Amino acid sequence: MNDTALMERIAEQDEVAFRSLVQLYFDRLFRYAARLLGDRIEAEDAIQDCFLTVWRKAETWKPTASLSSWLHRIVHNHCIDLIRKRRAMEDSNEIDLIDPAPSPESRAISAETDQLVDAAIRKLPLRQQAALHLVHFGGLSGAEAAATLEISVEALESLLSRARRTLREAMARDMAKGAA
Amino acid sequence: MTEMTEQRFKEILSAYGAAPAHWPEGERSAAQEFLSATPSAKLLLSEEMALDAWMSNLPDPGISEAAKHRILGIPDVERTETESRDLIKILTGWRPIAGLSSALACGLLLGLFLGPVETTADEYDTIDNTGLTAIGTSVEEQ
Repeated sequence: MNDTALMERIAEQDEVAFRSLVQLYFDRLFRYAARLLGDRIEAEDAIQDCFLTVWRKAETWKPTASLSSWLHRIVHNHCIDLIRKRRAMEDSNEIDLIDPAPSPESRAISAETDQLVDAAIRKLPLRQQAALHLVHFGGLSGAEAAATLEISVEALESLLSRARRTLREAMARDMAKGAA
Repeated sequence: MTEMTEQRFKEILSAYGAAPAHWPEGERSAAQEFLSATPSAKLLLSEEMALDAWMSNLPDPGISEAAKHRILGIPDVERTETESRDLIKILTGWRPIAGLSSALACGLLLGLFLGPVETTADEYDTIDNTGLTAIGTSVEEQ
């Protein structure tokens, strides 16, 4: 079943179609939210909010936008709202935002593997992080990622290039440390 | 096929990395052809491959089966909530009728409990007279 047929059936409150959509998209949306937020509980809320929107407002999706981009955009916007609220709270607590320490949840996520990559990505500006997670880890095409972030493909490529340049420097430091 | 320049190839690599699967679909074939025909492109690719490999160390957050289960149940929860709202609407809609019925039932019970009020003929006269006096006449005058 294609995206249009699926969404038409969900708009008619077809529960089987809705469950198919969840099975198709849940994993990648959850991973995107969890990586961007660094917090699994908040990621669960973001994803639940996304699918609730789908169930209630499926008719608002237009076939002109890719379904994947539309779903990622809902999740992305929810994550950005959460991050802004979190930063506002941190601001009021006078915590340095330029180099935030990873939250306990993000520490848990990173516990068993290389925390350096995680830390390096977290230091990137939020839009660069989002672009990187969507394309490199989420497997979205440049066009889909650009639609998700509501920017042009050229702007997306610029975000990705800057992100990778910064990460290349972090990798070089990491290699130098390893060699020493 | 789109023509691939060295500049554009570099841009693709610096944005999307070394994996052709991430490259823009419309330029992928041209970029791969450029790569196989250009020795310096292979060097650029190997640098990006190293970064991709380093980035692949990013931990996988996994998924939450509990959250997935909850989300799969959204239609059930929404249906139950809708049914509850409908029931409340029905009950709310019947409330005035229910109130009136209760008042009638209370009145009836009160009436049965107090029993019939016995009055004497004199009392009737008094009542009548009082009423008629109030409008300026009396039984005797009629």
